[in-house]
Amino acid sequence: MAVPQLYYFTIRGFGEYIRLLFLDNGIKFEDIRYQYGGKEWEDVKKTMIFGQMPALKYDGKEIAQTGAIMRHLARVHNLNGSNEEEATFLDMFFEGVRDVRMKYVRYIYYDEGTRDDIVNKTLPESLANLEKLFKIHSGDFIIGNKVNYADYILFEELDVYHTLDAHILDKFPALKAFWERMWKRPNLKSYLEKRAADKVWINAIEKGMN
Amino acid sequence: MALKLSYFDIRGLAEPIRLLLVDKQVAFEDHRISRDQWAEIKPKMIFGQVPCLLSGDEELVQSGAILRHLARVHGLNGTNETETTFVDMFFEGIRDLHNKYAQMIYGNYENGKDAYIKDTLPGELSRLEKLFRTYKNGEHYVAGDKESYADYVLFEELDIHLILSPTALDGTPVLKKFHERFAERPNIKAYLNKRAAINPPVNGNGKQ
Repeated sequence: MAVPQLYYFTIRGFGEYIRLLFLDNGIKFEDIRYQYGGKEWEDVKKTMIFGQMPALKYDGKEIAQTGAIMRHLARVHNLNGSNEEEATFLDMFFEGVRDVRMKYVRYIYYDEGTRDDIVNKTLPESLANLEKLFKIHSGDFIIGNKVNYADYILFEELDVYHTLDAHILDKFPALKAFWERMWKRPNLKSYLEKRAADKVWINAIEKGMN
Repeated sequence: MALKLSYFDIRGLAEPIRLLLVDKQVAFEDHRISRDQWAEIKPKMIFGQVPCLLSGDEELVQSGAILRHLARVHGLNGTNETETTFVDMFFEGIRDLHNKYAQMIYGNYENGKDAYIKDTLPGELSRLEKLFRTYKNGEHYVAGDKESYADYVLFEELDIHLILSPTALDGTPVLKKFHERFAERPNIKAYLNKRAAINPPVNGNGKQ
């Protein structure tokens, strides 16, 4: 199989979940990054299925849409739970986390709500739901002691919110322990440290990096 | 296993799920929540949201997760990995369009409706039409010969856009034909006839 090419911007954004999945599972991929708003991207945009990234290309196939890419990789690389009930639970978790991200996105790009609203109300309310859901299956990850695709979106989101406010996870011990655990994963650790040192932007604007 | 689908008394995000269940003749309780009941039900929901599908004692939320679960169980998820991924991608593309629609409906209907119909919609629909033609030139379903969960979502999305603007599909004849064809499926047709008599609102704020 050809090495998959991941097309995304230089930022973390929605592409980061996919990068983390590849890295953690030791899957080779080409991390193609475009400058947001750059001339090069303007040309590439026209060739993309929905005019959007992330996009994943390999073996002549092109997959668009973050959720579809993640679930495809999950099925191919055994990161989709071990039965129907688990697959549905992971999907539900993934979609729930995605909803939280959309609230964050509205704050970042459309100035919906104040920093105080998002840090002290919106995010803690959502994190409380996720903490409850996370504890349904005991173990190190969303489902027991086996990592699955939804763990990468959960980890990235927790890291994004922790970047916004260093104390935001303090009231959610299960999520915080999970976040710390993921930071220590052998295949992720050096990538995450370098990412933090380089201050790679989370969003297309600097907001969210403090 | 007994199924109970809880949602508001509107079409909204649950209608594609209802259409799927109706078309596949899967028995389910179509539980419609009233405004008074909602205050009591909301705190019990995992994310404080509906739709919720109760399947035995398993509580499923998030419309995408519910649809994909039903798709796997009822053979509506493509016949191989390439098709499954394609169907999923198509679903996500429709969802992007629906988010833009919802933004206009809930945020800017009075001033934004015309611009949405004139400037946003045609590009979105022609992109979907192009993708829809990937399999068998769009003469059957999203993934070719066999229907998948994305077909129910696509049908509903086209249907609500025809309510918004009766000429919405005139620029995308392949999608328009799909919509006409799908409405003729016997189980769908019977459901649509029944629904027309009740005429439930499409959206929660009554705008459509």
